[in-house]
Amino acid sequence: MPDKTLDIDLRVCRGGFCLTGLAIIPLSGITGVFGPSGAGKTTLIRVLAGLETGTLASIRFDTETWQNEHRQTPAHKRRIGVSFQDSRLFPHLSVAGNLDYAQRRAAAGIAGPPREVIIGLLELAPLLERDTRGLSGGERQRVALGRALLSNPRLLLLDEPLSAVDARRRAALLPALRALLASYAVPALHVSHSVDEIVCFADRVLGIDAGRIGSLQPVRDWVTTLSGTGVEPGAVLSGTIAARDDRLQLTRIALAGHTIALPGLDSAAIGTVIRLHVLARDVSLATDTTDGLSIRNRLPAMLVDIRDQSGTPYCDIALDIDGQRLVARITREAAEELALAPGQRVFALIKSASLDRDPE
Amino acid sequence: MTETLPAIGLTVRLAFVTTIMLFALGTPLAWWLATTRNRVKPFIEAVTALPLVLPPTVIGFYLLVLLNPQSPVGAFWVQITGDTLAFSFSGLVVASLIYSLPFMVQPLQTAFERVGRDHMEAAASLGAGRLDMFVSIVLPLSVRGFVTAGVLTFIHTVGEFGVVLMVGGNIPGRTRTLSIALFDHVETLHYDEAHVLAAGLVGVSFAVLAVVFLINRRYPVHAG
Repeated sequence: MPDKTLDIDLRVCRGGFCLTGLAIIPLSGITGVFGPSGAGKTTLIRVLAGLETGTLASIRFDTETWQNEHRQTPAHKRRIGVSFQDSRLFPHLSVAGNLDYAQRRAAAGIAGPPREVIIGLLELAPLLERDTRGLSGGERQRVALGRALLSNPRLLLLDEPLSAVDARRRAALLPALRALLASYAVPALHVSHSVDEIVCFADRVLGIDAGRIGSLQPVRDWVTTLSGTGVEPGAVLSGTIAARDDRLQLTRIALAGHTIALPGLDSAAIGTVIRLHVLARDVSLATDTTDGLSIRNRLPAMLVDIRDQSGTPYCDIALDIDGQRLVARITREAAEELALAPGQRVFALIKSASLDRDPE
Repeated sequence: MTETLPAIGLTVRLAFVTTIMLFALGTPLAWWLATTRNRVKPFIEAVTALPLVLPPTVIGFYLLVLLNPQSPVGAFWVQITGDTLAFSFSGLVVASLIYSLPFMVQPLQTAFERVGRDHMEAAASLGAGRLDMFVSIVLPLSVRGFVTAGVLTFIHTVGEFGVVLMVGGNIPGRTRTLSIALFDHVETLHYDEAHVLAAGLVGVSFAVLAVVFLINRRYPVHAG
């Protein structure tokens, strides 16, 4: 099957601010849209949703032209779902009424996620009879996301959809939402300024900065390029849950022929492939196997590159672990003393506390 | 008192017909004014608001010129109905539609503007077309505006004097409304009957407005 894409070419100006650039976004999985505040992320979502008129844009959804210089498909005919940052629940309807509103207008014929599944996923059951005006910010966002899902969209546009949901619930929700979207083959664009959220949720990342649409990168490549952008550099590793140790309260993860241990008992089944987000500052280097260390997770690695962070005491070391990328941030002094050079065999020491996990 | 009852009946009928017709005419006009970015909007708004500031006699004078059987409009009306527009109930309705227009359009426009783009955008993203969105989102969120507009239009039509006198004259049972009857009673020094009518109008107006404000309390503004 040839991959469907969303092709965009924009020059959108609004009150002195312009968003320009082009991108070809695969209509599968989740595309993170990342950039600082005011970069134009929300504008991109609005243009894609058809909520901006009189703009110069050409947008093609698979074989369907949504916008060119002659015409524009109105928002209600695009069959997209939008989860707005500010929820936008209808105040004259209850929570259930808001969900019904979307469900009644959903396109028939294509099986989207069923209502009970969405309600279960977002834990909306206790809220259904509530008046929307009494809800907290996080509750409102969950309802808005549920409403967007219930409209049976061909593309889901998520603009900071869970920013007001507490961190614990969000960490549980994102992977479950990912799985749901994957099983119903609903592609999504996910706007966020949180690196962690993008790493856990997205397959690829579209960068936007100061009104310029940047390049599209696989999430693994993207995380390693963050240094210098004011965002914490890091890397994403793939591993498999190998064992749970009840006595030591550890989950062991197989990774590149080695095993590392994470504190806590992961609820995912043995054999589940997971993603680990490892920040560069949580990775140290050793030139030999040092045994007298409290850092338990040691992975043999090949030093690929040393990137000097000028103006700081640090340098970022790019590492290769059996084809997977990892970045370590160490002081320049340490790099000089260890006489590090590209091609050298080293050991990456990962502080266990730094590992986030997410079923893939 | 035998002259009072027909005057009350006529006035209520006039106000009722005017309000219903203005709902039909004023809603699309107010919606257009609330949503358009057209450059002529301020001029249309000014025309809509003119009846608020013009002396009723000015409106009445022009309407008389427009509606009399010698004018094209008046002659056409006589041709299709066999009756004149001036000095008739139909003429009063036309006049009321014009002088009560701002009382219908302005509260509606304010209510529509208050619904805001956000909820309409959300509705559109969920697949609601323009008419669907108007019925399912804008109308329910504008209940207050509709109540206010309807009541203001009704009461204002009941109370208008100058335009009615100029366009309708003072024909009992045909164009003699409450305020004209009241004027008549005062002119002929029938103060007792004048008192009854005046106090009745004050009482009814107060009661209606009180009900409006009570309803408005139950339907808080939905903005945000």
